[in-house]
Amino acid sequence: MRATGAAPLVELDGVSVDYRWGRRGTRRAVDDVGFRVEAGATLGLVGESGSGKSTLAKALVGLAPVAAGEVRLDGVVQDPAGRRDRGFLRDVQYVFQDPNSSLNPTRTVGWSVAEPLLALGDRDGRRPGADGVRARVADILARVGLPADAATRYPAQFSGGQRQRIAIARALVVAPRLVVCDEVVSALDLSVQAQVLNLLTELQRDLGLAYLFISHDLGVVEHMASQVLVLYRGRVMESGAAVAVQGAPAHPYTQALLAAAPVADPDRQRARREARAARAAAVRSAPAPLGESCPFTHRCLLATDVCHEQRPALRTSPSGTQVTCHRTEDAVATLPPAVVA
Amino acid sequence: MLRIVLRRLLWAVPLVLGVSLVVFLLASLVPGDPARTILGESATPDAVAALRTELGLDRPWYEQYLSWLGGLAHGDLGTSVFTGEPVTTALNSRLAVTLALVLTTVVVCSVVGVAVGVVGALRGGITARVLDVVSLAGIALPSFWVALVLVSVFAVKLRWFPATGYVSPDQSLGGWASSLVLPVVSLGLLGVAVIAKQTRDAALTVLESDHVAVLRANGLPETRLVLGHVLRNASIPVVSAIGVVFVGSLDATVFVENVFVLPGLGSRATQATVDHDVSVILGIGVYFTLVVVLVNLLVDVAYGLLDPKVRTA
Amino acid sequence: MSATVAATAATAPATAARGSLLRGVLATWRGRTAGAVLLVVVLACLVGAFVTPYDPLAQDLAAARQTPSGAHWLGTDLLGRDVLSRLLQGGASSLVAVLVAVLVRTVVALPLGLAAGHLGGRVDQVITRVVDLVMAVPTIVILLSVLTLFGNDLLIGMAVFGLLGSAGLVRIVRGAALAASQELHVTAGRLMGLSRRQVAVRHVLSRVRGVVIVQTTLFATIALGVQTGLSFLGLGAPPPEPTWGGMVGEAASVVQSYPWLMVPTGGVIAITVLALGVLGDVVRDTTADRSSASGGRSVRRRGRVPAADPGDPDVLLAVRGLEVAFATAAGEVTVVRDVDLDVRAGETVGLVGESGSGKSVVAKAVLGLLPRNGAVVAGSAWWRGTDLTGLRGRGWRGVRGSQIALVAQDPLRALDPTSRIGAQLGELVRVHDRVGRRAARVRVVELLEQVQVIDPAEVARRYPHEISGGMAQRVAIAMALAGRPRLLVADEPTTALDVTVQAEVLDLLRALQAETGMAILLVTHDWGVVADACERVVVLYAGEVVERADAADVFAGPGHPYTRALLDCSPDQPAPDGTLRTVPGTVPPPDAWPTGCHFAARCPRAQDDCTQEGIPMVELAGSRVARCIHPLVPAGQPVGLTLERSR
Repeated sequence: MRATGAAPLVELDGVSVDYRWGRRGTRRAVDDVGFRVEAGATLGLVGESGSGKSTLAKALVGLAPVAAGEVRLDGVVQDPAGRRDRGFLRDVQYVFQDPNSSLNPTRTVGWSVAEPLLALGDRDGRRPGADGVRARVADILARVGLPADAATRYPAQFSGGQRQRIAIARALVVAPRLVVCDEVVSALDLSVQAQVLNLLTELQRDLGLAYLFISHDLGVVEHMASQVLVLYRGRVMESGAAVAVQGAPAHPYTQALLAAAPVADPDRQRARREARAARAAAVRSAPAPLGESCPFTHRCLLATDVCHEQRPALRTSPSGTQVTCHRTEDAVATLPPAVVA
Repeated sequence: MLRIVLRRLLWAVPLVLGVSLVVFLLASLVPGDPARTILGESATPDAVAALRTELGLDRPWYEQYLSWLGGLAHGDLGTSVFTGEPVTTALNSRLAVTLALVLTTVVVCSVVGVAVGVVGALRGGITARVLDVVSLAGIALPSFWVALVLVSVFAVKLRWFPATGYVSPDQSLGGWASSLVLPVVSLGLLGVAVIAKQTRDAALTVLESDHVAVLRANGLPETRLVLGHVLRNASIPVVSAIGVVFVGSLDATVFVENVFVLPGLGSRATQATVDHDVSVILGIGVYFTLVVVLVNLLVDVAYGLLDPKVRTA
Repeated sequence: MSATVAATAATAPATAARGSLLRGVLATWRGRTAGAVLLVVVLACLVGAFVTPYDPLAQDLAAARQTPSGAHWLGTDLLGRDVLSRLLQGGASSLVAVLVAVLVRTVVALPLGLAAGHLGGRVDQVITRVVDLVMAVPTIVILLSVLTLFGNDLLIGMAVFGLLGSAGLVRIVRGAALAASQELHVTAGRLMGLSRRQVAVRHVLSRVRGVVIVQTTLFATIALGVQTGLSFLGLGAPPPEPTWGGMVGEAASVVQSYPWLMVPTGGVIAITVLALGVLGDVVRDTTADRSSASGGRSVRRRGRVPAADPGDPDVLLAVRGLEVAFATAAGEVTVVRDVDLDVRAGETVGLVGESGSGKSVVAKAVLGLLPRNGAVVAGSAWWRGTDLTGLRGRGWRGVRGSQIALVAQDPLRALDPTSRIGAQLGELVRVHDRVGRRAARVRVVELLEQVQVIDPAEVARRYPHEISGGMAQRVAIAMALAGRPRLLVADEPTTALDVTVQAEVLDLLRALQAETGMAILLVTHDWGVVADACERVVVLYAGEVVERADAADVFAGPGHPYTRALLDCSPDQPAPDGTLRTVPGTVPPPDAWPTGCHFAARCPRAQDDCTQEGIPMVELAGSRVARCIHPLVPAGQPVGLTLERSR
């Protein structure tokens, strides 16, 4: 059933996700978002809490029902209600943020890592024998840099970074083509974070993996991803090559996000702070309900009437990225250089 | 809030129906003939049949049940086939005794249990260990055994309190109080242990929470912290523990009222069981159910008052 | 953060045993004792019932009312029957009855509770309704009716008791399953194509196991009480058949003339219940994610040596030689040692470190907020002539809040969920300003305005769950400002916040500092936050200060290899080959600190002398002081262009 031609590995097209809200109502967590991930590539999803970035990933793997739009793997449209066949689940694996909770504390590491292999079977759909499973688990645990006896131990006996390696091993044991990395390093210390990021880079190079890399940290995303998608309150703000988004942000929200992230250099940070202060929105009112307006208007200095009345369409910005902003030309023109310095 | 109250009250209806139906079914399956039991072995078959008709026992069980329900709607729970007394009359006086016993027990348990639990949470170390042992003893010793030991020591040996019997508060308030001391102690030992344990666990959790640390660090004196914040936050699980203790004490009156020969619902229930006196058992079921519904209602209301999330939801 | 590390160290043996519950329970002496007692009672009753020393029914009036002897270990009863034999036989029927109640309850409740908690939706609604109804049924009345019907057959009675008791267990299992279903490994199970039933059995069941066992031991004790109580009332097997409750009744009838009989009859019930209760407690402690109240352990405060007050009038807070230990199951563990740091009026000092470094422990020790199992065992924290580590209870008045105040990490957990924001703030205002409610209300609004809350009166009326995280952190800062402190201890104040909100909060702190002149001790792991906010930096690693310096000097080139390594890990600064620089190995846990330099095993510059003996703090170029004998910056020399990078 695989569609031929140049279909990307994974493609989301105009996807919206609704969450139940209160007794009857629903709330749109993701609103008309699309992206594609090519084989072996990394797409970064950036956004703050409530931006819908995790929900979007959950819609991809079937954990959240899709209210509108399409999810495609190799060009094949997937069930909007969230059912995914074994082939899909083998191809697309998920690594969670919190390695404490993503591993069953009452099971050995070996059991947890073997579970997807036993449940989903091998690429040919067959389940490898006990010896085969054991060998594969040992192999993959060594691959992510864990000691040989790790399989017989329990998650509580490992540090946070090691547990995240175990979680990665569990995702890789079925030889997936895409791994969703949902804030995988947010809970880790800086030095451990670097180790895990290096491991992910290395695995991608050796195994030809594609990543959907979700993070609130633009710095981490820029390091990992070639393409970036910036979300705010469930909508796409800006997307494009990571270098362009980071180096010449064309949406006021991306600019605000970049400006707010402190850099580890007191002089540069002072300059950025001053630049940010000059552009800070004077009013801090409550966010407006999401209607036919740009969701960022209440915090945007450049907002005009049209921003409140008309939802901006996706278009190409002066810096070459795709943005949803009526005033992207002004945003690019007035960006203080200190923000991206 | 009003919705919670109304919903709880409405629950009484299916509950009373369900409980009475089960009791009725069970009772109608009991072999033996109450009419024969009442009249004795020597009675003529005619007399027995006459009494059966009089008592309505010759009708199918569902007809009997429906007519009992009809009576219930008018507040009539029928008459005891053994004493000939209306069930409501027989039980109302007994309800007062049981409620006096259970309410006193719950109040004493709550006061002592919360105090002990808070001290245990604040002190730790030896104090906590001693409290642990005491509450374990409270849980371990069966209430009827404790009751018997208390009687033999405090009533028979020391003669501080009466061994058995109940004095109405109308006759003598002091006598009433002293007649309740031993029953309350034996009934409440378990309750104190349960409430103290729950209070200590809850208070410890709250004491370790961030908001207590912040208030303490920012200068709130310890007494205000404990009374105004720790207790208040710990009170939600404690309130449900008190509810559980109430219901448990109500059930345990069956044992304790028998030991102390108190004229309450519990001892009547045992008697009715021995007599196969269905209408009395049914009546007690109705009384107990209503009391439990009321207690649950109070617990729910307390939740609402204590937890703003429940109130504003 | 470091407090959690200490706590982790404390619970490590317990959590490690989570895989094997039995091994975990048997690892404690309480578990072993309770288990052994239960085993003896059960075996004695089940086996002993067939090999009783005497016929439990055989009367021997000549030998009546005997106290224990070689012939009758527990004496004889009124009719001269052997008490031990009767207890064993009666115990068999009691234990079987309890087993029936427990089995019925578990078999009914487990699937229903799992289904309700894990599947949710309509199934949950229906089950919850039914459970609520059954919970309100008067158990004892139903039980008595059943006994009437089945001619006092206690086995059937106890089965019904188990059935009615299952409602409570359904509710508890539902709660546990609901919590377990939120865990990510359950979600992961769904992503493996497992059916919901498979996920429930493989992942949720194992997580509710602990609470079910705890509840079952509790229920078994109640069932035993009810079973013996009913037989005491004569509603069980008729005499002369021995029952535990019936024997108590017999003993009661002769309690004055022959009191001994109360002892074995009540004693066997009490021992059985006690063993069950203790076993339940041990299981709870073993399966709990966190040991409850550190098991009541505390650090022995053997003759603590205070450090001398440096007496520098510019310095507000002078920490000297601070050592903090935690009492754990494995003994006392030092988590922070030999910490020196100064905070001067009006400055911001960054306390930087990874998890396990001890940075939060230091902050908590300064405010006297160590958890109960922790204590300062050496050194001092001098606050203008007062040693804070010596303060107890009322001694903190006039210090906490009015001299030193605290802003915690998670703003939503830092506010009391049960009281309105205005009430919490007002309470602190009344304490500090000694004013009435009305004046306090005015000051509350002022405080909220001071932290740039747009609509202070409206926010004051709200409950914490009704405001956003950023707003909550502003409120938390306002609470810290209520006593007009001279030092604000901010423990990771922006870690839980979004980056744009973090920027606002940091700006706010800077503005407040300019306005009030207060000093800030900022605990953080984020170099960006340090660069943004701090004038001076204290870096902690594995419980020790490894470097102290002006922020500018640290960023220009730190003296300690660890500081360098931590700065280099940032994803902004990859190595030339595109990979990120990492620090090999892991932080040693507090109970495994090496001799000498704690960082030596991971340090590219380590030499043999690094692990010989404790490393002193060494004064280096510029403002740097580092715990390193092979520093990156030479001692005494000015910082120049020749500055060496570690790689």
